[in-house]
Amino acid sequence: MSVKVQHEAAITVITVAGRFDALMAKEFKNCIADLTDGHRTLIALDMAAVNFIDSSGLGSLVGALKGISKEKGEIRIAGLSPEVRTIFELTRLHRIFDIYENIETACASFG
Amino acid sequence: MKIVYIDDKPEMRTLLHRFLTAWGYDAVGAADGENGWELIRTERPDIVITDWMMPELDGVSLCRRIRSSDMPNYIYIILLTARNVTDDLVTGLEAGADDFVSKPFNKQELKARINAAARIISLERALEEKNRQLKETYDIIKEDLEAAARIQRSLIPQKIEQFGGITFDWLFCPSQFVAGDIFNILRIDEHALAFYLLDVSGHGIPAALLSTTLSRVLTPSPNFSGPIRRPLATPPFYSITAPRDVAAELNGRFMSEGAHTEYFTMVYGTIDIGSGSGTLTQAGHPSPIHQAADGTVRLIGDGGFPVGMIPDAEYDEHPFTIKAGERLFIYSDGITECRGPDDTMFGIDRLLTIIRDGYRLPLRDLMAGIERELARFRGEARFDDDISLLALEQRRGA
Repeated sequence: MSVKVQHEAAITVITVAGRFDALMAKEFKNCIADLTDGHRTLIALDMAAVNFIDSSGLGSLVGALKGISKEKGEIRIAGLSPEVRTIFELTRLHRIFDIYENIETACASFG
Repeated sequence: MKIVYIDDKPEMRTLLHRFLTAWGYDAVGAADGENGWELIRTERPDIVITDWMMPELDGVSLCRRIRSSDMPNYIYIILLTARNVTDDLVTGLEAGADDFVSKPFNKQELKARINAAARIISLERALEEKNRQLKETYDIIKEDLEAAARIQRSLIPQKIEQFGGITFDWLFCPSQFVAGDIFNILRIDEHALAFYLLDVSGHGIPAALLSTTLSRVLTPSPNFSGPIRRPLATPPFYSITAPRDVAAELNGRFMSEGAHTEYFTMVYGTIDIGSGSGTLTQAGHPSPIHQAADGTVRLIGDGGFPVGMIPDAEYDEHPFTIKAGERLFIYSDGITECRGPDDTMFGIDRLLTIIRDGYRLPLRDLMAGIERELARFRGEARFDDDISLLALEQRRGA
């Protein structure tokens, strides 16, 4: 599986890689649930190594956004591959999420 | 537990009978191989104890016969061998014997070996029972799923119809028994048609429950309730809802709560039967394809929010016209994201090319061609995702 979590001060960096499908969506959801339970709700999500995202993957991202916003936290996404960006644009999710060029700018944006 | 014992010596049979019944087994004996075989077939024992050396059918041949028959249950076979004859246990094992007891036997050893056999047979029978229960459960689930699939298939068009000059056709292959994809084309009134194709996130039963519900919700009801038509106080006593408002209403009604993110993507549109012009809304669904009479293809729209994902989402509307010889294709991402053996995707360009090149083909032949091309690309019988495609056409020269 490829959902990796790293803590950098107040920010948690999550890295996902490969196919973001139902299987990974489940792991991602659990990961977000653990973080919100632990009140770590400033999240930078590195998706640079994701080459495909399906409906379950998109659903888990929006679920994470809703869950984290409820806890007054924030999730910012970095490094969309052209394939994934196309799907974000088709579903207008690029208007819902804060999207950054790479993980460094995403982390820096938290100030 | 039932035991058949076979020995040509009467004193040995007497001894075996006494021991076996004393140990609580239901025991019947035969004096030779052929009679033993008859007894095995009528009594269906759990264990067979047979002498090796017997006239006519010997113990090893009897083993082979038992193993090559189609007994419903496994029979545990113990061969009685003369001591000193170390001859080949291998022959016995290969013939299908499970264990050996040498004669003259030690009573305690025979008892221990039969008890071991009984343990194995009990395990065997318990496993058989578990398998039977599993199969029974699986059969029930499979029957239910097949029934659900029939119900779902009854909700899509049953036959090709003609609405003025407009006709349509479709492809539908669920990746499992039931699908998260569903579509239909429906008459709203004498002038207008509604059409949709939607794809619920995820697969299988949870997705199918929602897609089936949506199909019901999107059927025009006689009393004008439901999102497609609204009641009015004055003639004609209803108004046809704009596609973008249908999407917005469904978005409110089917908003996913909390961590559950069950949503769907959809193209919904209405079309005037006389003129072939209409409007459609695209809710996170792949862009419909318009094919002109000379084959030229173009995509309509560039996206929109899925339904049930973002509260109060607003939807765009795209006008379109299908004139004589023109077609409109709406498809699920199961087609464009279909993966071949080398993990490449079918993609929008392949689909556009087939549609453009097939503009002179009758619609049915073009649809069959797309299905063939997809199957060839996929390289195996099963698809990862539901495949659905709905095509509308205005007859040439209509």
